[in-house]
Amino acid sequence: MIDQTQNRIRTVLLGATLVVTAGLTVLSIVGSFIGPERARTAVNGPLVWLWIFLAAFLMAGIVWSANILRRWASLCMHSGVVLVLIGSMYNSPAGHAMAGRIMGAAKPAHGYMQIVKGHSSGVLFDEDGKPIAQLPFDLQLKDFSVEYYPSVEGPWQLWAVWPDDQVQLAWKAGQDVAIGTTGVTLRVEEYLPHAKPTYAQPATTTAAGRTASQAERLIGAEADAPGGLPAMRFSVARKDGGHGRAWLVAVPDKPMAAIGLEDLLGPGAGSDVGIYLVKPDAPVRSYRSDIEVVEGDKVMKTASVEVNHPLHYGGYDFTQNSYDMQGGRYTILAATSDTGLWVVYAGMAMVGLGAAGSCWLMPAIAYFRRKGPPAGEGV
Amino acid sequence: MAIKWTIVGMLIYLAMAGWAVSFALYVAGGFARRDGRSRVWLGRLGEVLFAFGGVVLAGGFICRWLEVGHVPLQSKFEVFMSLGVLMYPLWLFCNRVLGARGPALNVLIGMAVVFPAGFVFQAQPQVLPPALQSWLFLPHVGLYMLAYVVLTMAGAQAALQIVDQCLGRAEAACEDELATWRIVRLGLPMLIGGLALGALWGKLAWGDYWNWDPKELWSLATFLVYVSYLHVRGLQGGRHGWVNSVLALAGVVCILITLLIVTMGRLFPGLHSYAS
Repeated sequence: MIDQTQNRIRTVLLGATLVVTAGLTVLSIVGSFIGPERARTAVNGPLVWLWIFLAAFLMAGIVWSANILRRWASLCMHSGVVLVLIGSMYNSPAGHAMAGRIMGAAKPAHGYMQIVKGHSSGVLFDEDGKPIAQLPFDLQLKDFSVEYYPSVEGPWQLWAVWPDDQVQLAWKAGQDVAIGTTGVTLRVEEYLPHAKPTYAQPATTTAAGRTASQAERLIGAEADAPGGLPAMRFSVARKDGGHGRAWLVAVPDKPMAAIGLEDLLGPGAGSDVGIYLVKPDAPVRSYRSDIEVVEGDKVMKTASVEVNHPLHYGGYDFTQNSYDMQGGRYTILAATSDTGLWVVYAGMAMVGLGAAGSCWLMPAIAYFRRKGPPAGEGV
Repeated sequence: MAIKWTIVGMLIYLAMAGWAVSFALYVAGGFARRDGRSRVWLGRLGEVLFAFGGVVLAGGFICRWLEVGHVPLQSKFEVFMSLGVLMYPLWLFCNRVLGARGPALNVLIGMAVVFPAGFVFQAQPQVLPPALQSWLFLPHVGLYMLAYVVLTMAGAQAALQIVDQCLGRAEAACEDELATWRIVRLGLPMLIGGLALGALWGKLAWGDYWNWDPKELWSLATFLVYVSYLHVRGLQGGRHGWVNSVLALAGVVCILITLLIVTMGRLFPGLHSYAS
């Protein structure tokens, strides 16, 4: 009778687990469509009860299921998931807000710091640049440096630029490429890696005894010796039959040459698009902020913060987030609270250990005992 | 679709040619008399060519590593070529130890995996952006790739199980179901390892171990599908094998979406866009 009841409970729990897992799978997939920001907001808002339910459900499952309790690997795996959930809840913005309400200590879960070179700051900002907290210490930016890979050799890039968007065009000589969804296609007819511009002869007009000189007008380009700047001849065509042709010729000391589609096609579809021939940037190899942690007048810690090398201090991890791309005058660090983090890490380690034990170690032991492939066994 | 006139490209095509012949031999072996010697020899020759393709691809992997100066797991071209490298050794393990069947199907999967590297994805070498310069790059991506190949092989067994069940071959279907179960258990810890290392890497690079990025969410969905598989299998054993097989195949669909669709196009903008 007791066995029957236990079996029934086990079946109900497993069935419920499946329903919950299926629900979570669907939520994960929906989350991938709505984007990271909205997904984050949802799980820290309306869905916060889901995590509490999940943790409670798993704990009930562990307590009620003799199968889990009997097997160390399975116990380790399931307990690990509970720890990950509890740690994540505590580490989340919602968890921080709740802890703030209960304990009265408001510690933001996440924020950004913008520090100008040679200055210090202890203010955390949110994504919109609004100050959200003052840290009990300051970070001083002693130096900021960017290291680049060697300059990229190769053809210049072609970009279509709208007033509020831009897209790189994957051009190939002789092939049509669509300019976004404008219905305009562009074809690169000729690309000269080293070219010199050719101009129409300046015209002079005489009228009423006065002579006026017009400026030189660019009409094209011709191949030049190595060392010259590139030029590109392209044509554009609209669906309605409008078309045009132009040269983009790079000039010294300018990393790009541009022309507006309106100049070629007149008003209509795609007329707000600019076509840019752009010198490819040398890609960034690394960027580094040399930071001093200052409390009062005392330097408590110095560190070089790079991507993948964060600074840990005062309950926060400071990671290299962004920087002033115009001149490297300031750095932007992301500050993330470490509250509950080690619970998450411990949970992950337990899940991994339990999975390896349950899926690899146990079957391997069975395999070597039987000297044959293991028979199926429960999780 | 463009042919790659490079050493790495040629090695990929050579491996594909070897695998195409291997596939033909396996299929021919399948039609040969069950107790005839020709069946054995065709099978052996097919396996030799399967191994040959794997070795050639491994050569391509090394050449690519030397060419780009870092472990070649950055671009889709590199990832798909590397997935091909893993096909034969993992098949060997799954076949010899876990009782996997259907070599022809696995050779075919190998060809399908390597095909995009040979003809679709661009092979232009890229420099490593700062986020990818981490000791976690190889273990994180490597574990995921191992998991994906293993779990795809489990999917192949699941497909065979469904076919065998439809054809009324109960014993074969039962063997396939058991092999699927064993192979999923081989792959799941790798998937969990990849997920955990990814979380650790995310913490170091972006400040958070979980960023609700589409790639992360699809990885979670994949993990959850296999968790469902384990629980369904645990609940009913091999009794309704097709249910288990459908779940194993659903896992493969999630893998394909995570690997192919999430980092391509504008449908899922996220932090993993450098992998597109």
